[in-house]
Amino acid sequence: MRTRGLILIVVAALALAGCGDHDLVLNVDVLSYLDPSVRAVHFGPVPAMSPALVSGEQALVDDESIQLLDGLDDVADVRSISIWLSAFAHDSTGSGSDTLRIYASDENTHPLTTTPVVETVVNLVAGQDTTLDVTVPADSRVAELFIQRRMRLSVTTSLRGPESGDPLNGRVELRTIEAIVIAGRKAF
Amino acid sequence: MLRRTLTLALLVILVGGGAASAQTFSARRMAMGGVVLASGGVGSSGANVAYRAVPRTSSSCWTLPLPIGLIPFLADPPEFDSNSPDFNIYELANLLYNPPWNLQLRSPTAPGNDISITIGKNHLAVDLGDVKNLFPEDQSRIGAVLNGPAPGFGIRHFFLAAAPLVHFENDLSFNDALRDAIDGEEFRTNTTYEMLDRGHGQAAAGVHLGWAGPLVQTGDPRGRGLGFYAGARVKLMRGLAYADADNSVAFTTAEELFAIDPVNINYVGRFHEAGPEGGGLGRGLDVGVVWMAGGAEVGLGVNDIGTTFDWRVKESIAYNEPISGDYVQQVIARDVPLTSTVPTTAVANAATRVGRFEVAGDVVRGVNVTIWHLGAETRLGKILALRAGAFVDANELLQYTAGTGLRLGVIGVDLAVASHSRNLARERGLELGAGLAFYH
Repeated sequence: MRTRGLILIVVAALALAGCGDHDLVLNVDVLSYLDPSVRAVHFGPVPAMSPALVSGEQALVDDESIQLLDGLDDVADVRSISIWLSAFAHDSTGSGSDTLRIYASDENTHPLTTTPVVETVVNLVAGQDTTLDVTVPADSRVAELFIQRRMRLSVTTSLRGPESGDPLNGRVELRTIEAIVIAGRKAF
Repeated sequence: MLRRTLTLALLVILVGGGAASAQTFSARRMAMGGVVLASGGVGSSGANVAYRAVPRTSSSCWTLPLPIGLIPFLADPPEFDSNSPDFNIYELANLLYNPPWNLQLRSPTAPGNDISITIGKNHLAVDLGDVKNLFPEDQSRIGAVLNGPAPGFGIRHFFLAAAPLVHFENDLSFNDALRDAIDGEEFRTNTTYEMLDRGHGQAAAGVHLGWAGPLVQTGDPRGRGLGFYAGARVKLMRGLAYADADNSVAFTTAEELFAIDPVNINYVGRFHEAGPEGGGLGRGLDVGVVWMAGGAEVGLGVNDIGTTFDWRVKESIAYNEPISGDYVQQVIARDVPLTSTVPTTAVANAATRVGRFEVAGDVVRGVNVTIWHLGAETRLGKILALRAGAFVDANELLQYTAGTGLRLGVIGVDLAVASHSRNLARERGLELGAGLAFYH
């Protein structure tokens, strides 16, 4: 069987095959798959103008392949999934906002053709550091991705500049992208 | 295919992962810690052939064990369909440990914690919680030689009996890396994780030809007299079924745990098997002695000395095909001559009267395990008997037993309760055994 971690899957199946309602908790450190150089984006200077300049969606992570455990979908039935995203924003000058979007897809689909799993706005205030920490539930489509052998991931940023005042200069750094999957036993 | 493989793998791990000793079917013996009963009680002549020659006491009887464990089993049978939400592999594995004969009064619950798997680009760890206790600490070796009832007849000191024999052994082990991973340590790069399982079993039926008689006997050996008894039993048998399997499942991690190419699981198995048509003759020898004097007795039985069977087996190998990953099994030879052995086992026992108590103890050297039993019995009049005992089981845990016997004329009822650790968690359970006794 060309598979990864079969023994691990056996162990997981063992734990799930007993009586009771105990679960398999799968924590996927998605951020670890991303090269450190793409975990942060520096921007600016973005001049102030009305209407404000918008960058449009720019790929921070463009279609990264994520290797996961093979065979997990044979033993685990996903009950829920949530995505935990934390980011740190440092704004030197100016004000604006940045919209972070995370896309996930199966290995045959480009992630940017799907709806974003997470979409959150970081407000940038001149001279302030901002910490973003959000946990959002995801739907069953996303849940199934994390028990497949391989998935694809994209992260985009979309900047909106100031309408007045100083030009915007700053940095947004991804600190955590983690998927928490709760699964029960699938009959086998 | 994967699901069936998983189910089988789970049962191998679960059943192979724990040591277990068998249920005791005689309620009197069970109440006395499972000890070899003094003066040739139930099961004594199987353990020590010389007990065939020991004179029976006036209270000797033949017994009928009652399968009271069948009642809850039939009323609420386990779910065997793995697709059913009620399917519970722990329950099935425990059923293999505890066939539904004795009534299980208390069974430890299966571990019920969540388990957690943490995955990162080069990070993989699993936290099993209490579930990891189901896996053997190191090498797990179980096995037994089971000799069935031997109905037959005797002429003077010679006897002829028909008897089945079943022998099985299993040896399950993990390498250190896999053991560490099960204990919660992170999986490492460039490391081989391996599980080995070797097992074999054989069944045969045939006749026992033997002699058992007194070498010395003066007076009443249970009183002031002396008795020295010996016996030998030649087993002439025909093999009915044989199988052995030598399995290895391993994978080696690369420079990165989650490299682009998946890690290949390497499975290799080698099997030998034969049915009745491949069974040849088997032969073996049991010997025993019993010494009795002054109300005490000492016995030593050694069974399956040089017991071997000749087979003509089918040899096959199994592996996962490197390209497709499919499971492949190939027969590589037929009618291969093979000689199997049955391990020698031994029982040493002693019994004596201490005041109103009859006290007995034994040490059993079985297959890969040594177990000792200790029991006592006292009678209150002719009707009531009280019994208690203890034994160290195959998991090296001290277990306790107690019971009673009620005799009404020629019929008696025996009840026994005993603790045991025949379960996946190797925790203490409690069972009730019952039987009828028919006195001469």
